Amino acid sequence: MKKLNLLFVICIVSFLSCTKSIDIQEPERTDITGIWNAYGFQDLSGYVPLEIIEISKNETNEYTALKIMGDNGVPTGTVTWKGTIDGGINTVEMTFGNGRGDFITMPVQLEIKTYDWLEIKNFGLIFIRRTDSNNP
Amino acid sequence: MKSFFILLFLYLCSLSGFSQQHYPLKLNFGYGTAYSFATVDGQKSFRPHQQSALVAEGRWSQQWSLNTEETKLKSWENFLYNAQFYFGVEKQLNERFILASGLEIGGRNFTLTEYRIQDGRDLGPIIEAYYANRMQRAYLVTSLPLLLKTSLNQKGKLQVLALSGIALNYAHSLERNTAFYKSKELSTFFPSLHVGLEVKERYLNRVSIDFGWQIGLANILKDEVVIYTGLKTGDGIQRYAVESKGSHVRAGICFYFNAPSIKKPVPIVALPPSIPPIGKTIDIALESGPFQLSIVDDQTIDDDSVKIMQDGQVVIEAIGLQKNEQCFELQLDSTLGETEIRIIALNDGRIKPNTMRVIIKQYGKEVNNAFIRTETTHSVQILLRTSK
Repeated sequence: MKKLNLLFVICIVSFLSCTKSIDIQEPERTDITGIWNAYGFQDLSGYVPLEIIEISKNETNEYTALKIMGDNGVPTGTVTWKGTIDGGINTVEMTFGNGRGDFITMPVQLEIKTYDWLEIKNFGLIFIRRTDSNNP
Repeated sequence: MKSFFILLFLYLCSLSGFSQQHYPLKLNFGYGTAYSFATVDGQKSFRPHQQSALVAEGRWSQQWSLNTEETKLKSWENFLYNAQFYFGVEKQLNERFILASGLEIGGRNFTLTEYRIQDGRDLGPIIEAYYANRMQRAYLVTSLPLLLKTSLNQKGKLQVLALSGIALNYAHSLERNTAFYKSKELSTFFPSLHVGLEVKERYLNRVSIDFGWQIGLANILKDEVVIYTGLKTGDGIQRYAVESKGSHVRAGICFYFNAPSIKKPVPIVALPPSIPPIGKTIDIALESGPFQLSIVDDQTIDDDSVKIMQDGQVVIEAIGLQKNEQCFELQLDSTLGETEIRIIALNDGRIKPNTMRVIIKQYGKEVNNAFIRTETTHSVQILLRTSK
């Protein structure tokens, strides 16, 4: 009977400890580097619902967005935009392609809404940071 | 919540009431894993848009990371999510059936991934590098199972048991919102059905392994995924419900703390035609009322077995002597003045003679502790006289 009581106490303590709320803190982001989903790109066949880009930063503080999953106009492996980021709205050089391997670049306004949400309003592009997390 | 604990307490107390009978209550500890899964909008995988796919994948508990940086949980919390821990009690009803219950705590998890699909491709093969979003979702479940174990074979070294029953579960999940996945903190009670198999070594009876399938009967999540692929194509942001009923496949290993309760199938020699003559008599003075008679083989375990009688009535027909004490509660009637306990050897075991230690306890105190050696040709008589 003593063992049973001990078992019961262990069970209750375990149960109570399991139901305790766990305070989850998402990491504070300090820049826009990482993997992003891009919505609103178009190629010759129309809207491409989802593309994936990777934003990296070099020693001179220049940010480069590389297409990991591109489209027929600006395919995978091509830099889609690059520039220096130093505020909420930044001018970056964006690449446009005609699907036949010809590219041109032109300046566009990249707005940093949050470190998880970017927009290039002139072209209706939205970038949302890729989610890859655990959720207990 | 209070009523749950009260019911749990009463339930465990009622189980403990069995312990004075022929088969003592067995306590055990189990460690295992569970493979759980979920659906999105009722499906395992589907295409919310031509160029994306949502895929729900099942995962084993052990696939939950123990890295605190990754999960944002404490080490011990990750430890709970990473496995199934089981504290159990078992009561053998007879040679064939065992009633099992206890308390189980463990984590269940699954992943939900949004993939980018190239033009013209079917759902598979999916290129792993092109996933757009991924969520490893987990929740903690505390279960109170009630299982009936049925022995499928009466012979052989390995005993196979079929498990069936129900479990009352309490699932607890936390809120965490990302752009892709929205979850609510939720605590839910849900029932589940359990079927499975258990295999154990029949004689040692210390370890068993089990495999099972638990079928959950209610959805326990209120989560949704948010798909942005239609953001610019006219479909808009799409939201899909994520469901998990707590169904899972499971496997585990169980360790038993106390003495095996199953009688060893000792090679019983044909019973003597009559009660053998008394070879030795032990006189003990006791108070009238209940007392406990314990027998234990403190020598080499060699499959000795005995029969126990009280005043000419058979109390225990046949019992195999074991390393641990096997205790029986008997009654000393004050009106009789004395009671005769007769211990009759049914065999000599593998090593002659049949040896055992007989311990008499009353009101928590040990009254007598005697080493007895006997043979099938002679029995041991214990005379219990009332001192008051």
